[in-house]
Amino acid sequence: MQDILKVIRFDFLTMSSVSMGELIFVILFCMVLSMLLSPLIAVMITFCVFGFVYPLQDIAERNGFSKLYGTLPVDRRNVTRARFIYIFAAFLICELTELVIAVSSTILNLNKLIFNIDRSAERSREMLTYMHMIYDTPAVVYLAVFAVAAVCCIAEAYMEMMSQIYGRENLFRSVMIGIAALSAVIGGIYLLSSHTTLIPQFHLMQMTENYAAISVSKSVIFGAASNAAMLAVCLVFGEITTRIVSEREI
Amino acid sequence: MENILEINGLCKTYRDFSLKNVTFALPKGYIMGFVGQNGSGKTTTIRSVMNMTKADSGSISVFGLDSVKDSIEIKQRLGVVFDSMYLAEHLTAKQIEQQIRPFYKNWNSDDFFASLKRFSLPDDRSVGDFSKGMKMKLMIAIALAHKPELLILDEPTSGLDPVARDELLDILSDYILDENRGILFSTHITADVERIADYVTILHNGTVWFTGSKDDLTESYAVVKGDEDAIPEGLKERMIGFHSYRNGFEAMIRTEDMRSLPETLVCEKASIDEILVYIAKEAKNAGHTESDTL
Repeated sequence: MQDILKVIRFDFLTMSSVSMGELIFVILFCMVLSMLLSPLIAVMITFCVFGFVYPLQDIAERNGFSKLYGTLPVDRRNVTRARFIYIFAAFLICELTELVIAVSSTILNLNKLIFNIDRSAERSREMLTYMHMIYDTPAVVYLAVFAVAAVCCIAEAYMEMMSQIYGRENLFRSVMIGIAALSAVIGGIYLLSSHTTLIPQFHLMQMTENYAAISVSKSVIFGAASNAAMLAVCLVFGEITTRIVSEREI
Repeated sequence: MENILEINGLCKTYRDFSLKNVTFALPKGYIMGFVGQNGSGKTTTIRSVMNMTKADSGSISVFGLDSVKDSIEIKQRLGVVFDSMYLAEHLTAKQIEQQIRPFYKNWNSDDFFASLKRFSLPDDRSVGDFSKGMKMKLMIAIALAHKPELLILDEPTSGLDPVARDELLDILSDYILDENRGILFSTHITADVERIADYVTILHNGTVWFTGSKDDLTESYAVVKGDEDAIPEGLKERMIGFHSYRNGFEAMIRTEDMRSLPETLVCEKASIDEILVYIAKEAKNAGHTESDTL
């Protein structure tokens, strides 16, 4: 485990000097917008984490890190595993940051300062209704944070696995295969949900009602489950990649 | 004499190249020059020592440890520098030190920054802006910062200007002052070997052509020139890299064969550079002979 932590630290330091400034700027920007407009905006930070993770392999390839990893006193398998744990950790930290912003935003409710000024105006009525709905149902925001982080983390881990196994030049093909697989899964769920008799819990209307009525505690349970799924997928993808890549010569 | 590195019967086959039964040893306290033409197998041998490539057969022992089973322990005690840089070029030397430090038990940051100072390397500039010589010195500073007992360098002087090369060789000479250490450095610049190496291993087409002390090598071979008709019977077959010209011939012979040479033939001690050239010529001659036979 110590080896993995050392490699994660190595990867973090590689990326921090490239992307840290921009990431902090985006976090602060989203934080301000979240506080003033909607806590849901915090979710956007997740997409920026791609920029903190995705270029790592490019940098590693360009600078011949495989040779460096070969000279360091560390098991090569742990180098690969560390990359996937790094991906999980990056999205988990992002998720926690977003939650802190969302919770603070809900508690402080600073949007009142702006939108109460012109409450009577026709144009802003719809917007205000939406704002109040979001502030009244923080569980929806938390669910969005968990769901987006999980989807992005799994997508990133998938791309990392495919590009390590098949090379960065085949990434487009890997992404297309991923999208096709995802479409098939979503299509399958949609088909199932359109037949109430098959699996009643999957029925769209039922799901929507359940979603609106969800409590904060339930969203936290969902979050814990999605994080566990994120970690499990990263570990599985990491192990598959390790088995294939560690057999190769440097 | 205790060996710091021992390679026994190393074999490795690729599609178009193979290492065949590579065997040599580096005693503690000495520098070994590992020479051979490009593509002779030097880097493959070094990568095998580093467990970066899997040997088909043979064994490698470093500090008496197995290079495969004890690879991590070996890498803790060994410093290696390859001919190209493999560090993040957008980082400064200071940031790279922070990255690599945790991997080594014996890492000494003071030593690292002292090396930077000694090599006149800035610690606050992106290493991508460094010249080739500066990059090489940085890699050596990193390799030395964890006090390695064995330093392995793969073509460290290639592409360096004479001043940078000279500085690099001085660094290696200083490092070996501690007699518990060893250096294996591969190069095709034989002048570097002649200057600092105690031992030489010559690799040719994946096989060890010579391994032993540098003095043994240079005293064992001589270049002979003159009229082809003056060559005593039976000696021509023993000549290495025989080449005939319009006015005569030149070839390399073993010094023990010099006794049978007539005075009309001119004999000179062979330099390592000449030895390499004649080995290559011999291989070429052998290739011609084979094709003639076919």
